[in-house]
Amino acid sequence: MSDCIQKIRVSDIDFSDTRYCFTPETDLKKNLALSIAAFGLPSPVWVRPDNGKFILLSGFAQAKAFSENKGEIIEAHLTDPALSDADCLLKAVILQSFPEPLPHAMLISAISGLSQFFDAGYLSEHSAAIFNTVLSRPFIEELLSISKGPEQGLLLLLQNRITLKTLRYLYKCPDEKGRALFKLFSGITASASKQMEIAVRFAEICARDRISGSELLRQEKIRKTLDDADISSAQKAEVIRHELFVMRYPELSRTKQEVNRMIQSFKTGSRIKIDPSKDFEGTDYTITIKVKSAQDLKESVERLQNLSEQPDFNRIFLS
Amino acid sequence: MKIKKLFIDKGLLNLEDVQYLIARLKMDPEQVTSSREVFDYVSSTPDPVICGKETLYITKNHGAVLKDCPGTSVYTCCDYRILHTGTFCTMDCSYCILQAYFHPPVLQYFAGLDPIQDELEKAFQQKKISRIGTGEFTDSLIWEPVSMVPQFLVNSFSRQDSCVLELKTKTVNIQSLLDIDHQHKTILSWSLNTPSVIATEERKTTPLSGRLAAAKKAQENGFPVSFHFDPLVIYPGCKEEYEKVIEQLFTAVDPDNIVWISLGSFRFMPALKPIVEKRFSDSVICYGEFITGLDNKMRYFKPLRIDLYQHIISCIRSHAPDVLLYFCMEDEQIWNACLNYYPGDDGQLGHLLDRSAAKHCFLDQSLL
Repeated sequence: MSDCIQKIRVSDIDFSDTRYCFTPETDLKKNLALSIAAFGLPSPVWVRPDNGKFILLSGFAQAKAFSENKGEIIEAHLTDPALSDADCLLKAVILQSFPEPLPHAMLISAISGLSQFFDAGYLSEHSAAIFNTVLSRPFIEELLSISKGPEQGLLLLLQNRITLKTLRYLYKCPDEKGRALFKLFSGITASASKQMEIAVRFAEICARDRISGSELLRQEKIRKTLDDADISSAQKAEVIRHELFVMRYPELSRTKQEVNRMIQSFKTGSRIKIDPSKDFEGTDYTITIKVKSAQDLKESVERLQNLSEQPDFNRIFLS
Repeated sequence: MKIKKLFIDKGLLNLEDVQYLIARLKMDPEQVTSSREVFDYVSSTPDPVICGKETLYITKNHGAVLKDCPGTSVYTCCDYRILHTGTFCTMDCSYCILQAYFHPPVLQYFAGLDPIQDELEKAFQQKKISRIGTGEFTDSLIWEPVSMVPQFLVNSFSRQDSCVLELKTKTVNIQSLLDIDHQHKTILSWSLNTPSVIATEERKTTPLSGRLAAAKKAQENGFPVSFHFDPLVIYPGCKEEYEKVIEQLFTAVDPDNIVWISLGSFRFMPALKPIVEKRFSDSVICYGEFITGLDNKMRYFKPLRIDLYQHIISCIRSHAPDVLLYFCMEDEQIWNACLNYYPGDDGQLGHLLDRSAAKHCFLDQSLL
């Protein structure tokens, strides 16, 4: 018997069998439930017949929302009962990879499952057809290796707390440091580039100071920030990122703060801006003047002239 | 030095210096028709850097034999000239840029003395003072126990009076040079660091005491000497440790015999960091306060560099007030803050070094 569409009882779906579900996310999608209640199921779900019950291949969120709406009979594609486990898994991946390729966390989970039946070479060769994107063999092998790492990493990836690049970095960290970083990232939200800054600074401080990751997490400012219930996870990320910068580059951050304080004390106003060279490496400072008229320019130049004669002015040049 | 595999390009076996080398290595070379065979062999191993340090490839130098040090326009360069006699190194320093510079890194010995002689003759005929060194892409003396090149170079330079040869090393391989009538035209030079940096970051190199003993021996045999505090590494207690190194240096060597001392803080191309992290997992050398320099290399935050330089210079000056000190790749601000003058961007540093070379190595003063 080939695949066919049938109406099946929702109570016959075994929701506990998630072998074809590549995301542990099971939260009810409220809007989807509302949509199904108002306009019906957008498309049939896919199921595999199994001893009088059905295992979901695709449409997990729809089926769950349908069930929450107290729906009893659902329209479903039934796979050919003759299909093997491997074929069903492949079909589930394909169903979930189109029209949009799977996000990294789901892709890792899918590849991990498929690797029981297909080698990395086969998956790479057929990646466009299976995953809706071309995947090189080394990349598939890397994802497989990541799939064998701590589950916490995949969960953070799935929750968009970290990117694949950050996860790669965390997996390369020694066990204890990696665990501390997983803990840190479970409490903060940051952009991809800031994630890497945070992870690298954290790991390098531990290495430099010969301290464990958990010791660094216990550092007062970091601990208090993570425990602060009054700020968002994004704000926590910003505070911790800054704190790690101060710890990683104590002299540079102190100098930056001091020079900024001196520059602000000159009270040049918003139309005259003084910028040291980046990280004070170059010898040239930049002074930007905004003017509206010749008179404006004259006044700004006079102001700068006065400024240059102040004894404190030379101190910003660190020479 | 432990070479496990020896390759040689076909057609080079009959060269005198090659026969000398192979006889002393006591190994049968595998002949190859293309460098690709050697590079593929090294690249295919789990750790190409280690394999590259144990694989010697005798080949011809297909590039320039003598060329100017590339330097950069944003930091002051000493206008050195590099003589290419080989590449890579048998020692294993964590900070060595050669790990990232060659793809893959392989020990190469450039066969044949004639190309070197031809280029040197041209330099000697220029009647212009030149400082020439072989220690840019390799240690100058790693092959000294088995190669005739160091002796050949010292002899060649001894017969003229416009150029000096500087042989920079972290070894004590000077035995075959000691009895040569060098005419002071070869400067034997050591890279110095603190015992803790040597122990943690300079694998398979000679300890400080050995280097200084070799320098003393070189001095006793009339060689002018020079020293390079490069890379200076900043870590807790480093100032005190560098101070002790300086004390030991001047216990071993007479300041009057020192042609110059250079100072340079640790700097690295960003590509080196993952290599250090992978190959030297206990090293924290890359975790100092580094910022991106104007040449895109990572450098210590400038006030930290100035602080260490000032301390080291003060220590050196207390022992040797007149020795020529210079910075390798630093800017005007550093020069002024630490040495109270700036030689400028127009070759003045080179001129200062030429003058010191002329004085210590008895070069033709009229060429200055």
